[in-house]
Amino acid sequence: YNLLELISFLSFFFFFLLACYFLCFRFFLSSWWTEVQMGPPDPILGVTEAFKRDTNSKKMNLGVGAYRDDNGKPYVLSCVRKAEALIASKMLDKEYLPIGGLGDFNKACAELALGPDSEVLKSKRSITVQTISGTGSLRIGANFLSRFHTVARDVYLPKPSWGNHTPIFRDAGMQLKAYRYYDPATCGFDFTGALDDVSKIPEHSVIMLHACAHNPTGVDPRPEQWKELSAVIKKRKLLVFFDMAYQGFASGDIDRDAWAVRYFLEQGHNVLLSQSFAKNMGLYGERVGGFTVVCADAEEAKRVESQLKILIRPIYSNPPMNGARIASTILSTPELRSTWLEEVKGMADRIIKMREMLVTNLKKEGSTHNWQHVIDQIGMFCFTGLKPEQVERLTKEFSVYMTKDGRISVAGVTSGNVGYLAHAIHQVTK
Amino acid sequence: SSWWTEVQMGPPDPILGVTEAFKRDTNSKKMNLGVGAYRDDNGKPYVLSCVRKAEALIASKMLDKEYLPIGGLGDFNKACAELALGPDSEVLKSKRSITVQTISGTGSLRIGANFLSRFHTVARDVYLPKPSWGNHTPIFRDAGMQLKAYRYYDPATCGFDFTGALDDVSKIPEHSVIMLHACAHNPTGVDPRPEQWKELSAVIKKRKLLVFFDMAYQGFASGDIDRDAWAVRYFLEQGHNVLLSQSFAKNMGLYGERVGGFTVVCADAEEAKRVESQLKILIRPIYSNPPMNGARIASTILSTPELRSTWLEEVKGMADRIIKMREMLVTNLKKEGSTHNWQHVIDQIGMFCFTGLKPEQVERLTKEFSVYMTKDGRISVAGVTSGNVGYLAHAIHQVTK
Repeated sequence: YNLLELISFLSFFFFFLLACYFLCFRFFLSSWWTEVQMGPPDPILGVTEAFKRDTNSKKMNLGVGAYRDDNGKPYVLSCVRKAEALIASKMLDKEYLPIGGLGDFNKACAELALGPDSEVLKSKRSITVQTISGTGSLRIGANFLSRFHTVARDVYLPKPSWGNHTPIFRDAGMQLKAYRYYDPATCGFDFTGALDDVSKIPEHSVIMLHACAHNPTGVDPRPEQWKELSAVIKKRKLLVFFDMAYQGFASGDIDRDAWAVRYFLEQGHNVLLSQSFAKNMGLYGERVGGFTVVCADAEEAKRVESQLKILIRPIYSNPPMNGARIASTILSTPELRSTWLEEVKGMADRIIKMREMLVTNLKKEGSTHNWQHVIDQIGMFCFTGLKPEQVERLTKEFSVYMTKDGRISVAGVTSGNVGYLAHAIHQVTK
Repeated sequence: SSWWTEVQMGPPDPILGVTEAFKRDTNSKKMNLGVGAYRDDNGKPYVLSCVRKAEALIASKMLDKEYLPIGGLGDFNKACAELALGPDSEVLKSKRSITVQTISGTGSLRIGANFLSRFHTVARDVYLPKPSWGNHTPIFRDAGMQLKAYRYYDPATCGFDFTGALDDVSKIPEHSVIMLHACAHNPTGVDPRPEQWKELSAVIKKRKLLVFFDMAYQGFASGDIDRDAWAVRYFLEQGHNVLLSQSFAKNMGLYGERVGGFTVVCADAEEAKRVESQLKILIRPIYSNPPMNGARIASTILSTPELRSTWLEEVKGMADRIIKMREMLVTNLKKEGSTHNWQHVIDQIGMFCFTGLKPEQVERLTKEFSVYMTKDGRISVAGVTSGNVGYLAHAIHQVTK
């Protein structure tokens, strides 16, 4: 009897072990990603998702930074449509672009930023590669720094900066630090704080500067302030990385918006520069951008170019052709280029007008707060100065959606809804 | 003012370097058998008519250019996964996979490599077949993985070293990543037969390896999209939860538009959601969201019945021309009087052919005949036409007789 019991027990035990083995085997074979956590949703895009779910007819999406016309609709520039028709008529092939992208685009892209009389371009001492819009450009730059700027690991961002800057540099292996920039007391530029911080940055560190239309605050240094910053940065021997995502889109004038970049080059800073055509040409989803390294001379530029290609090839081999063809066509066809300049000025002017209307309407609502910063700030975004609790009320009570830091995309404001927006803001701030 | 004094001039990319040397050559009989882009029988780039039709359709819709989601165009992702896994796929029915749009095949592999580097912490090694596409190595290395190899190509037979592969694979440490070319192996053109795939699957399962399929030539290899995807689908049926990279550069001729997909097959739909969220967190600081144009074209073709059948005919046409050129090359070599065994040229499949030529012979071909190929003796059969196959056979015979 005991033997029988023992045998049964052992049999069951054996089969139990066998079952466990197969379960574990099957389980392990089929589940590689058990430890992968659900990640938090992207904060900026998360706003749009919440907006889409809202059923209030008065809802406003002041989250993601894409331009809208005065009817709240996406706007494809007519110069873009014309360029597309031109390109289609040529029946071009779809062969791979070179690793560094479309040559004509790179040339036009660099010229747009640096200006046609640029000494840098005449000396051929810069290299520009086509990138996957601004993000792709920044990431190539970050990877390049990580691999070749071995004297320093730190990248100094303004406080605050675009949210995506941080993971871009971090994932590339750099360390993030910050310098004072935005002054919440004035909703303006903390010039003394910035100079103070920048003057203490360790030599050879990388400093990121927003060329124009600072994202998210809309607060830009004035020319005299840029000059002082340039001097301190030169003294500290810092490596300057310009992020220019809004050339033309900020003031409506492409040369004025590129002034800081060009001034720094004249002052002898050999900068890194990221450009995007997402906003100023409305080419968002086509992913058009450029990354430029200004070097000591043409020979150095050749060496840097070869290493950029070695870096790019194992990321995506070569960049997408369509958007670059459009941008290149616009920039180098005189008629299309002037149409573009008018259209980008049109977008900038509408934004400026909405800023003015918002302040006018806030005053009409009876608000006694100082809203001057809404007019002083520039570009797509406005740091309203609203606190998180106020932002939450705006969303819950009025279906007005913005990011928690109180940033609104002015592009989402129209003459049709600016009154409602002013009313809502007044309600949560009075 | 000089930040980049220590930056060395890098070596030129070997594959693209061939094209650059070719361009400089003034010989009228010159042949570029280097880079792998399809050419028609006149040696010209070929834009598929289904692509032109899709473009016209898209243009007529006057769509906007708003950002795609981080994971890309939803319709594209769906069609892309269905193309690879098949419409009856249990994986798709269970919604236990996630497919994101990527910057063609390279972008897909790199996203996969980055994902492995971040989340496959149990093992750092990626095993590539020997040889593999040159770019695989820096893709995984730059992402932080370690590269190893398993025997694959047998230079003695110019075919598959099946015993060597099984032997090596059976010794790979558990949980390592193994890269498999789904069809039309690059650079050799040597593919395992179905029975061989089955044995490989069993050994891989036994070793508990994480399978990463690179499928850059679905439809382009045999001319049949289901036949070319057979290995991927078989492995899924056998319970391997694979990673999969797809490219539409060759099979739709969308090279410069950069259209591809990356798929992770998970245990269940919940895991797929978690993986998706982490893929987006990984992608956002690389390029934010993918380019729209090519994905719209591919999606339109795959989901418009008329365009889809045109596409299937055209991709079969490309595959058939390649197969024909292989046959003509061997016929012409025999006519030249070559006594070598060139059967492998016909047995190999896809864009590339590992001729078996040695570096010295390749150099003679380039210098004496202006025939350009990569040093490993790999030719792009797509660069061969009925007009130049005779010259090629003559040149090869001269350097091998």
